Amino acid sequence: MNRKIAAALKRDLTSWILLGPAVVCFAVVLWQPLISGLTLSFFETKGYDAVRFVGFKNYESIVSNSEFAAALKNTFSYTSWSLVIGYFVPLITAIILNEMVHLKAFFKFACYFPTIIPSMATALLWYFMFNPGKNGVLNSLLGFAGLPASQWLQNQKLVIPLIVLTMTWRSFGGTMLIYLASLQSINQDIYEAASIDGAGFLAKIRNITLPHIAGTAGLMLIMQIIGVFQIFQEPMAMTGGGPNNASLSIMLSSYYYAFRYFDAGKSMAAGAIAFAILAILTIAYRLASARIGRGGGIA
Amino acid sequence: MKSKRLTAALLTALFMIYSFTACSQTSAGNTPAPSPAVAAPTDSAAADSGAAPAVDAPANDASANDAPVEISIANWPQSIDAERVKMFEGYVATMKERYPNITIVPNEYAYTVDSFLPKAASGQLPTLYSTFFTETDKIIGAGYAADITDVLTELGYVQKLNPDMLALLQRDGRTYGVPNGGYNVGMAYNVSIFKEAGLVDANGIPLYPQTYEELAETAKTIKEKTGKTGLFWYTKNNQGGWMFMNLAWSYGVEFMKQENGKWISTFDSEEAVSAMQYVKDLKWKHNVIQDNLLVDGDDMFNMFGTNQVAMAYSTLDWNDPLITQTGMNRNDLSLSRVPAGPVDRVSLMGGNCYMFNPSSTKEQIEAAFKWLEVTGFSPEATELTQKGLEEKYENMLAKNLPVGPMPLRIWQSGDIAEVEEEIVNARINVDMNLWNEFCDGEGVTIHPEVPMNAQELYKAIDNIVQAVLTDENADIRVLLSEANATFQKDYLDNAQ
Repeated sequence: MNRKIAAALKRDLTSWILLGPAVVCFAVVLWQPLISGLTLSFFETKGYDAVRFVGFKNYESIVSNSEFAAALKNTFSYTSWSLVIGYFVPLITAIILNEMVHLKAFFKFACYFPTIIPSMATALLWYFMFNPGKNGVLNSLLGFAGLPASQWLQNQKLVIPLIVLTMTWRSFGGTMLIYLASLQSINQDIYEAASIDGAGFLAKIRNITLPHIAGTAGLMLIMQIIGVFQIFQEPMAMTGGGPNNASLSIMLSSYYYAFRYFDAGKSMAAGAIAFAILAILTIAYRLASARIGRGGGIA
Repeated sequence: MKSKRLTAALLTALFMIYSFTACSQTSAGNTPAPSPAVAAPTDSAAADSGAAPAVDAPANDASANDAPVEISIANWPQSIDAERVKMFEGYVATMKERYPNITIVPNEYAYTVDSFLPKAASGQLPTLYSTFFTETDKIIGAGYAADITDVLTELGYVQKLNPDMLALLQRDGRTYGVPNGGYNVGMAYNVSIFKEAGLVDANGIPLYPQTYEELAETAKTIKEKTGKTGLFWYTKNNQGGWMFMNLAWSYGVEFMKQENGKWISTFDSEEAVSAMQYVKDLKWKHNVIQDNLLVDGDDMFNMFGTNQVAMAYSTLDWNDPLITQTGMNRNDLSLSRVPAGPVDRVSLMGGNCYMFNPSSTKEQIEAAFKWLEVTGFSPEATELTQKGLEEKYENMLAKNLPVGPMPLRIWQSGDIAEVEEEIVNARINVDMNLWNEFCDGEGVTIHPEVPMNAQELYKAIDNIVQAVLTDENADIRVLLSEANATFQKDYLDNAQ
């Protein structure tokens, strides 16, 4: 056994040397803080110093805090709204762009453009758009159309979908480019063959395009869930988690624990809970897609 | 293959989540930053003076402490603020002349909620930094402020400082900071809007509403006559709760009390219901507050400073950001007493204070107090402190800030307050009639913050304020009793 390992090491020595710097970087910059963060979540903290081991007390205290229940519910709400509003936008845009003959480069750039703007700036931009007074940008437009002004972000039911809308606007361009790359890698001969066999546009999409990009779509789904689950900057800049905690997310609540109340232990515990939920979701997805993969050849 | 994918997916999740959880971590929080000046005990003074150091000691009082000391000073003005930079350079020159062994290291760090923790956790706090009363509790709790009890006692400052303010900086009989400016909340009036609405007397002084009822009426008149927002109401980032205190105490609300050593949350009272009903009415009955209902002090500066709103709770130490951020004319600003409620007329005490890097040596803390003396912070008026204060007010004149209204007194004894008053009186650049009522504070009860979990309480009140202002059907009684129970369970029960 040992000899086997030694042989394997020797065989892969070059790879290990090449990997070395990256592994060190990951260890120092990623794994170490992650592990010490996790450790800290089991301690009573004074600033960032662990003072006393308290087991799951931080977790208990967070979970029993009524704010956390709201944050958890909201975070799932953000994630589901982002799937409803944002998941298909890049996919559809990519398919449309792929079919375009003229001005393709311009539209590609136009779609990607919002992604270049820093997220804090977009959050503030939308904050002004959503200004609830009759002089707010969107309310002025509603006024022109003869419609009553909306409360926008101050409406507890609207606030999450609206924030998700702004995030989709900002970030669909990047995802769209990935889909586009995937679409362009499809061999055009297949489409021609399908055309000769009499397949229409929709039939080609269903039978060629979608199966081809299913892997990418699955990955994007996971990425989006992971990304949106950690939503933080947007509610912080636009609503501060309000009104009445209606847009508070787990990560924002974790941020408040750390920076507003200097309670690092609880902050880390909130982060760890989010991590655990994401890990479970990810594993569930991989298991499901593996099962589908065995049956139908996807992923 | 499957397990590889699983690992890959897990790692992806891990990297993503890391981006937040690790954003400001260092494994060792309080690693005492080595203080180079003290670590290198080269006694330059003794070396210079050859064989007889004791005789050669200079005539200043610091003769026992001539070892080189290096201190860093926060809130150093940035280069665009040329006036203040010049002033600080003047302080440095004075320090050099008086205390050649002390090296001053400028540090532009200024306290913000977001930046403090990483700075403190990585041991990079300046020797002397300044923060607000609202923050001191958690800073002391986290161990990020040095215990300065001994130095304060030696300097004889303990008895001379305002005990109410000092109490905010003490825990278990030890002191962790010194107040450097005390303010109580007042109501700011935008004089130009009041003139536009015709709500001024013959001398152009606003007709200040004296009760909360009158406040709402005045706000209505302003809205009718000028179309502008009458009153600014704070709602987010804990400021909604913070400013609500003024109103609530004036309505007789008691937020918590101690019974047999246990803290009991008590803000589900009828008084609290009427105070919150007042807030709700501002929106749904009178409709006199700003349209945007998720706002804090920064929004107030923008709206008030650009003549969009006529009245707002404010404090003297907000004059600076209000005027410098928006270019507001100082003569358009007036600060008066908070209005009276049915029970009392209460104003929340606020202010700022100096604190010290927890890893500072005693010598460094002493040196920092010498620096403070040069800037004018001392109970005794000496040539030095006088010069420091004069420069401070000259600088305010240069920045077009109101000079005239005096903050709460920090020093109880010593003649510095009288001297400061003289210095200010010689430089008044505003119509004091716009400030007198606030400065006299007649009938105003000045109230410190609640003793337990103030920030968490503010957050809880923030939520209720947001709820009643954004939802016409919000049930105040239910909201208050829920928040009261939650506050008890989440915080007070844990704080025994």
